[in-house]
Amino acid sequence: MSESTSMQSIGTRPVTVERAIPVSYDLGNLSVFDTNMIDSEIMSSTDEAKKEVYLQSLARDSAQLLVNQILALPVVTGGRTGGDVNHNDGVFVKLPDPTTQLPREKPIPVAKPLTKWEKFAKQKGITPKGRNTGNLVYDEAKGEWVKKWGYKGKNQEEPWLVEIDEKAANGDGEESGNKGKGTKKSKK
Amino acid sequence: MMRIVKPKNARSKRAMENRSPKAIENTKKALTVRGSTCGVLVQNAMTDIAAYKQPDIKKFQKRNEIHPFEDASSLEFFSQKNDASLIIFGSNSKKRPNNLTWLRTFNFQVLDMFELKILNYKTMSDFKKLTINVGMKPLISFVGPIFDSHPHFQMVKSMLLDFFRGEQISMLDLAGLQYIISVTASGDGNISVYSGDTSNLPSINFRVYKINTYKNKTQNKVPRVELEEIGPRFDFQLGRVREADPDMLKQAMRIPKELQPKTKKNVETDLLGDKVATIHVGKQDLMKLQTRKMKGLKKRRKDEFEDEGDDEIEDVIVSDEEQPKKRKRQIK
Repeated sequence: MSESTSMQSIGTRPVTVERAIPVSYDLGNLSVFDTNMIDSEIMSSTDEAKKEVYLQSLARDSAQLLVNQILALPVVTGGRTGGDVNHNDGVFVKLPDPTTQLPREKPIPVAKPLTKWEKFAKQKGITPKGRNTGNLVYDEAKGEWVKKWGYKGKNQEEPWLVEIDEKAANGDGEESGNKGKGTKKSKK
Repeated sequence: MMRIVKPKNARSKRAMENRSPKAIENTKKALTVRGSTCGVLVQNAMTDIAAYKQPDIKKFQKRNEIHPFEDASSLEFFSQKNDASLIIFGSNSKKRPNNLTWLRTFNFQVLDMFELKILNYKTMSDFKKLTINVGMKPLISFVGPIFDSHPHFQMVKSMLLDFFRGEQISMLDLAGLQYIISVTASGDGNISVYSGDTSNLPSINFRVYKINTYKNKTQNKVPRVELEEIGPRFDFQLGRVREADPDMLKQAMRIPKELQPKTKKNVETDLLGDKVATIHVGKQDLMKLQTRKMKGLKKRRKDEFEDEGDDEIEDVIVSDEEQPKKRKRQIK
């Protein structure tokens, strides 16, 4: 490498790799398996530098093939769901499941036998009671979560439309003050 | 041997449940254990390898008098205590100098193991200092037909893949493609397994490179990949091998029901790649069939009888019970 290679000139180098036997990928594990023949002459030669250059070129080709495949995967923007601001940047690709089957480290879990209570509940048809879902409820009209009860709770909201009882009013209409049915009594 | 621990609080209960067998397993943890005669070279080698397995690796400091191929029970004990299913045992003897024994456990019992003797070794510190963030997933490449043909090399491939692949993730940040581990072995694989003489087997070249990408300004799709070696650099020679017990391997390779791909009944993909399905229509009650509204069943004029006779039967695909009924009408 006598001449210095600029960033631009490196970029112009080919991005495709020719291989006699097509390589197989396991993108879930970010792996590539190349079964093409290796030049045994170079490998068994005593010239270490030559061998390293050859090995590096093989590795570079594998890496290029793998990167090409990974960039062909569907891109997802918006970051991972982690809440962390830092994770929201960056381009993500959706990796497929790994294809190479590797042995497990522990046996498949055996379903635990039902306890006495569980058996009884199943037989009687007893299901767990729905737990308290808290104070918040989703208000479709507003498009946000509001409290069910308490300060500014939904159960206390005054009706937005109250009919004025003709008999009760003294003919002025709204100006007499809304003493309709739905309004809340003010505290004294 | 191990006493059953009963959890005394929620925290320990969660820890215990995390270690228990699960449908989707945790990332495999590893251990590096030193033999009684483990020298500095082997220790450094294990440290370098451990750098790419962080944080899922624990390095033991003390020396242990263990001979894995004779009795691996103490390694099995370490595996159970530390919840580690991958072990690298480093040793050094006159007969087997600079030896690394790689082993995997299934249910804390030895599944398979092999020896890799270090022929050449260049430490990470000998290369240019290029830091890789801890916990990054590596790209892994296996080059050479022997990894597909020779069963011992297939085991090496499986073990190295298991060791270095890291956490399983579904979303990959493209900035996380930082380095590649390239394992190469020459030879065409037509070497007899039973020759016994392991010195004829080709050496395994283990190289690690950092990935640099260069964008081409004209075509924006795929960047050019260039590599820089960051080490460590190993040339391994495969030694003794202990293959997995077939029953144990079968159990270890089982896929739990939850993870098996669910094939829908009646839906198939034919040779052209089209999705073909059988729709099962319920049984028709022919007595209740509304034949008055079917024009095709109407009585035709006598001239058209002979011509139509054959066509009727061919064109209209109906069940057998329908046809005799029709014929009776026409004859009238």
